[in-house]
Amino acid sequence: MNDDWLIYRGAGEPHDGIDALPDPPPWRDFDGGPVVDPGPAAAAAEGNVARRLGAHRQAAELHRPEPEELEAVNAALYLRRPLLVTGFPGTGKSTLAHSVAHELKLGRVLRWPVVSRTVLQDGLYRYDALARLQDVQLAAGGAGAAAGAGAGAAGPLPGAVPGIGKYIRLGPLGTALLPTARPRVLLVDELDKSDIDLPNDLLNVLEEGEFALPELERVADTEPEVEVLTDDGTKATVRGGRIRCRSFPFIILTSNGERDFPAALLRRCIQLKLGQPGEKRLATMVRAHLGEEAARLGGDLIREFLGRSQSELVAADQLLNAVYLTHYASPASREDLADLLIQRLDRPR
Amino acid sequence: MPEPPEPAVPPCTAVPPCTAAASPPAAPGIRELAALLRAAGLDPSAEELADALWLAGHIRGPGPARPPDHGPDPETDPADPSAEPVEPLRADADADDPVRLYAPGAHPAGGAEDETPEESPDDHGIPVRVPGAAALPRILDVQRALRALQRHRPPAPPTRLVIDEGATADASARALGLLIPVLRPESRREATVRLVMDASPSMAVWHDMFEELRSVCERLGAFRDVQVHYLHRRPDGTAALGRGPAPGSALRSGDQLRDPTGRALTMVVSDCAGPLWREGAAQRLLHRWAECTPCMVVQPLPQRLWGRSWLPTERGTLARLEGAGQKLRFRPDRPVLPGRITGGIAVPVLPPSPTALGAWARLVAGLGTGPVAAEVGRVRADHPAAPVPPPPAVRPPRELVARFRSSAAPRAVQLAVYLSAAPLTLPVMRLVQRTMLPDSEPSDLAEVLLSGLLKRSGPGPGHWYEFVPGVQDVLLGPLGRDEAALVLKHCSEYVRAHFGAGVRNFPALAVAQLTGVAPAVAAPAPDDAEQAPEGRLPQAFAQVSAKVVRRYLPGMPQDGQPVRQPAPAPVIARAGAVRAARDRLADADADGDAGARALREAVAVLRRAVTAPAGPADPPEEAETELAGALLRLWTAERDPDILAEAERAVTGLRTAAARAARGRVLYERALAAGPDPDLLAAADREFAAAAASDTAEPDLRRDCAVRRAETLIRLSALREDPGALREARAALEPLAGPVPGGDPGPDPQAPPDPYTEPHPELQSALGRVLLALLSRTPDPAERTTLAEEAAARLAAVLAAAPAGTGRAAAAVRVELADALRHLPARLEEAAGQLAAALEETGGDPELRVAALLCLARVHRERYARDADPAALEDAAEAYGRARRLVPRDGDAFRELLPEWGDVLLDRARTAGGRRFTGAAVRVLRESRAAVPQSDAEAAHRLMRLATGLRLRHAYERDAVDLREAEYLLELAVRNSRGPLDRARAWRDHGDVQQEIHGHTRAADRLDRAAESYRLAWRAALEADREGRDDHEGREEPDGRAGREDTALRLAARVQESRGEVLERLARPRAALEEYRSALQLWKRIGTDPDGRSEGLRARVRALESRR
Repeated sequence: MNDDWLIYRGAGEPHDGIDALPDPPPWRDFDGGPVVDPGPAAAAAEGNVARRLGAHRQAAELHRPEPEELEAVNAALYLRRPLLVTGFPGTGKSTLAHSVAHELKLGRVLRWPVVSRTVLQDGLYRYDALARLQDVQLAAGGAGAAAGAGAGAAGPLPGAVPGIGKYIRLGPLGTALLPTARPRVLLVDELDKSDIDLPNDLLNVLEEGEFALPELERVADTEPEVEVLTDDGTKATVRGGRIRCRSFPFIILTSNGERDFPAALLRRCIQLKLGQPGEKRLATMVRAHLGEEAARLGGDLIREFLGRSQSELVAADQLLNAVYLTHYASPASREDLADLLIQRLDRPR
Repeated sequence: MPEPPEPAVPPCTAVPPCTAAASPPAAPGIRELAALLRAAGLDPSAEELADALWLAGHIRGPGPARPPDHGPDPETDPADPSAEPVEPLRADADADDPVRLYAPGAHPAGGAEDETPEESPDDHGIPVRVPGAAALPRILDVQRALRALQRHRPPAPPTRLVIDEGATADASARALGLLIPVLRPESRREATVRLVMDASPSMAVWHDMFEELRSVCERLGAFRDVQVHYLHRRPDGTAALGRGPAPGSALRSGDQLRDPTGRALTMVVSDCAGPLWREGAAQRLLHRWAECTPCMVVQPLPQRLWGRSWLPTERGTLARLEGAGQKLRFRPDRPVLPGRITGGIAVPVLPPSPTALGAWARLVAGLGTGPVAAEVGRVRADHPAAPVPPPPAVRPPRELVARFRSSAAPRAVQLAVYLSAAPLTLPVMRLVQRTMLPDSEPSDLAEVLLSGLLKRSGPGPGHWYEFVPGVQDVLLGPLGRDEAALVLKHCSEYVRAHFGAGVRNFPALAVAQLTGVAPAVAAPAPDDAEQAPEGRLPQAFAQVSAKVVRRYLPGMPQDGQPVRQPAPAPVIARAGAVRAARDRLADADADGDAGARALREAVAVLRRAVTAPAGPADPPEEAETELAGALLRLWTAERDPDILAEAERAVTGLRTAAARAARGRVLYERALAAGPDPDLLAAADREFAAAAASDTAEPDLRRDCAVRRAETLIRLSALREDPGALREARAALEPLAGPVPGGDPGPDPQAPPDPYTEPHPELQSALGRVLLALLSRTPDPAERTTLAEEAAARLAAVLAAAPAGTGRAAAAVRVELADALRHLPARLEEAAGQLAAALEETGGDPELRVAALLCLARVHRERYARDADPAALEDAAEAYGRARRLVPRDGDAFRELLPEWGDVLLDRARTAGGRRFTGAAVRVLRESRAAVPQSDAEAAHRLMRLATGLRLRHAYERDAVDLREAEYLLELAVRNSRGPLDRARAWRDHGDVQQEIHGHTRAADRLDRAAESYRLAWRAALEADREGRDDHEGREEPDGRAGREDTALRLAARVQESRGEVLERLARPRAALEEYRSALQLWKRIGTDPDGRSEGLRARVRALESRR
């Protein structure tokens, strides 16, 4: 299919098209290695689809992107650039990540929810210095007690204290940057909620495709290879205290559009704006989630929802809830229920 | 990429090597591309450009000319040297690029037949960033002044604890080596700032200042978050927040910025002059914010105007209350003026100056010691609306200007004078301000905007203003001619910089006329002008330029009092004036663009002539008609609607044929300018018809009117989708054009009735066009052939009569001729020959080339229909590919071209050796689907075609993803379909796809679904059948003679049969038997059964029955 450049097709059918992805442009070619096995959680075994996708499975399988969405996703895949998705709540920003992971068999989606206190370090890795200190002190105390007061100054016994790797756990971003054979999918959710500095900090890591763990660099000459925990809960080996990616992860940055991002970030991302879904798309969504019958019955709700979304901020999830619940409610109370469930998000608080 | 690795090349230097790898000789092309992008207002970095080019190379896909990267299509016969058929299918890199490098609206779309591109009000240029001086005076000082905010600590307690290393070490040392971690609260920035920009129109001037304030806040490092909001007014009068200054963006309640945690600072930038402030809504909102968090208003207007805004200030001192958090206390200097608002919260109002901002910042941060002098505005929770000011009395323009002069700053007055010679859009106004008054400030421009001398014009994009009627003339008074020329010169530079050298630069032409110097830039010759994207230049540029020229040049009558009245010619005899005017018009013809002056003089002479009474010897209404004609020419050059209106006034109520013809032309132009408007076209048609039928008119005029009438009717019929107008045009033209030339001898071969011994080519070609238009609306094949033959004969006669037979006009006729010939299977080669000649003659006219190529592609398709030769399809595909490169992606032609092209590729892919065409077919069909929105009437059809392409590709490649995608597309098509027949077809295809998927997965539920889809298809088909019988005017199927009803029934019968087969596979023979029987009954109803379907059915029924 050399004329058709789309790798991600949005058909909901898992396939190995990712292997046909051409080599990256030279300026986005990362040479991290050796290859790390992402572990069973990320393995694309056919059997555990349900477990991997969890609650997102249905939404991911049923997600049908618009042509424009398709183009943006594929451009990001080709160029090894992050995809910045902007749109109102409920326009399917997060679902897109799950859909890509499902269709291209890229394993579990690494999700990094961003809140106002999130810093870059949270995404890369956490080093639990206190626990290590505690362990060392315990070990030292134990050793000291065993060896008597005279030998106490000799320090902890090497075998008694676990290696430093036990106290390091990679965050979602750090895990995504491990040199895996296939790109991982990383969902950085609601980046616009972050501290003003996070986008710029993030930008640097995304440009370089690597980061250092100073705690490990310090011991690199004695312990060149350290096993650390990943976000998947498995172990991966870090060499020389640096992690450098091999196939650049497919990163989706989502934003509700509450804040502008620095121009440098915008320039380095593929940008995609998801508009407010129209009636057809909403109906598709309802049908996908709740079936044909519910869509037919919920037609008036969809129209009312659309009418209100002109002037108020309401999310598509609310519509789904309303259609689902009113499906079971008596017709008399339907309207009240719908009003209750579809409350405007921007109402005065 | 197969090239040698280039380790660690920094992005900037990486561009030349890597793009060179993609296309070796491309370096100068890249430079051109970069220049083009920059001219379009984009400013790509080297990296972005490299990304775009690299991606474009991959979207195009590795063609056969390049070494295969990873086995592209190994089935392609490597010995086959036919690279040509595939190569043209590749699309242009730029047009395919989803990064959308092209600027939207960069090409004039549509309007293919117009001789001059139409200028519609929305044809504004591309928004362009103009590098300007800093809008915030002394920006560094402001930054320094606000630095005090870094010390601002919101009252909320910090919540995050971190290890204090020093303290830990110290404590551990004291504990003799036992480690005791010490935690301390993290000193993080907790404060956020919300910048709120008033989005009322008059605030547009301050946009740059606002941006700078925002970047200062971001650079300050004092805030955890800097949010930007725009304060809009909802239609119901409440205040709401939007993400951008444009009113279209989604609005949220203003209460969202009420922050009970008290961590946020709110800065409102507003001139407090908009309706929100008058109605009190803005003040009430501000009160709600200020209850929780510190708020302030940055008032950019000069302080002497503050008292006139809707947030008047009082002077006093602000002091920080000890122990009361961030509350500030205000103590007024003097008692409140009567009538002012009292109570409520005092919100500081600050000018954007470092001193004022610094004092406020220190106060908020708690650094200041004593009270600070400040101006505050009062806002109350129940802030009342100010009474609506009485509508401004309609004052004479002189008085308006005088009042402005007396109250405004001198520089603002001078600026208003300069602006009277410029088109009033903000970028141009700023440019004039910067170049003519370099030391003025934004507030001067703001004063002009708020002066009441201007009003906003039109709802179009961008900020356009116009003067209140009459004011411009008054302001132009003190403006010297040289200054006017200078202003226009700056405007012309703006035009050249932002619209390119290709447009007709009206300000430059005006400068040339004012100074008497030929324009420095070569004014485009009339030939070039046809290709130039003239429509992009906003009309105001032409109108204002013309107005200024009319003001200064002698002999140009104007609305105001003429300053330098030319030596008044006393009473001119009408006849003499008309003669003089005709001389000037002839001069104008001779001089081309430089003759614009002659044209204006002719108009001036005629304007005076029509005021004179008609002498007995004068031909009736001659001067008026002549004036209308001259004005029409002026209209073509200037596109000023006033001119058209004047022309219409000149000939209204006149009765001669010439006058009626002129009125028809005016109406026609108005109709096109209005978009086009069918009622105006119909009115034009009546005038032309009357003029053409007049006995007294000269033959030339009558002929001209007949031709124009034909044009009008062709347009009218296209607008109203009614062939009646065309029949009328044909009936009117046939007597004039005589019998069909050549060939057909008719009953009376030698009897062309005089006065036209030889019918004029114009008539023939007009009639030819009418016939062609009629042809496309005629369903009957025999009639179509007749029409095509007649049209071809007439158009061929035009070609034969043309003396030179070359050039653009001839090429256009050739394309029309070929369009007629392609309906005649025996003459397709002739059509192709005409088109080849046309393509050579068109030269650089892209529209005509596209038309010729599209026609060529259709001719090749007809050839395929005749010969069933797959090579013809490849030729057609190549022609589409060539045309595609000439069409902008957002043009109408693009949308129409794609489905035809996709169909051709589909047909080719179906025939022998079609495998290598499937990829191209899918790509084109995908584009075709993406080119129309889902609400479009054609969307369902395009979806189904794409699904067909995917299924075809699946047949070759066996890729299950194609099937899944096709399945989804068909479901989408069902939902988007406009009628039951379309729905039936989509369901049928859906059923087929289910069966194909079953072939992969062997899952039985796919067969169940197939059966269900066929059932739905059957139901929809029967519905279509019922509808077809109820409503016979349903559009006929383009391919079948059978008509809608029959098609629907056949479809129903076939899907029933398919359903039966599926049920048989599901081992449900009894249900299958039912379906076969019902299919048989349907065939019985249809009657004819050419394929012998019912025979096979009967056999199956028998087989099943015997098994039971």
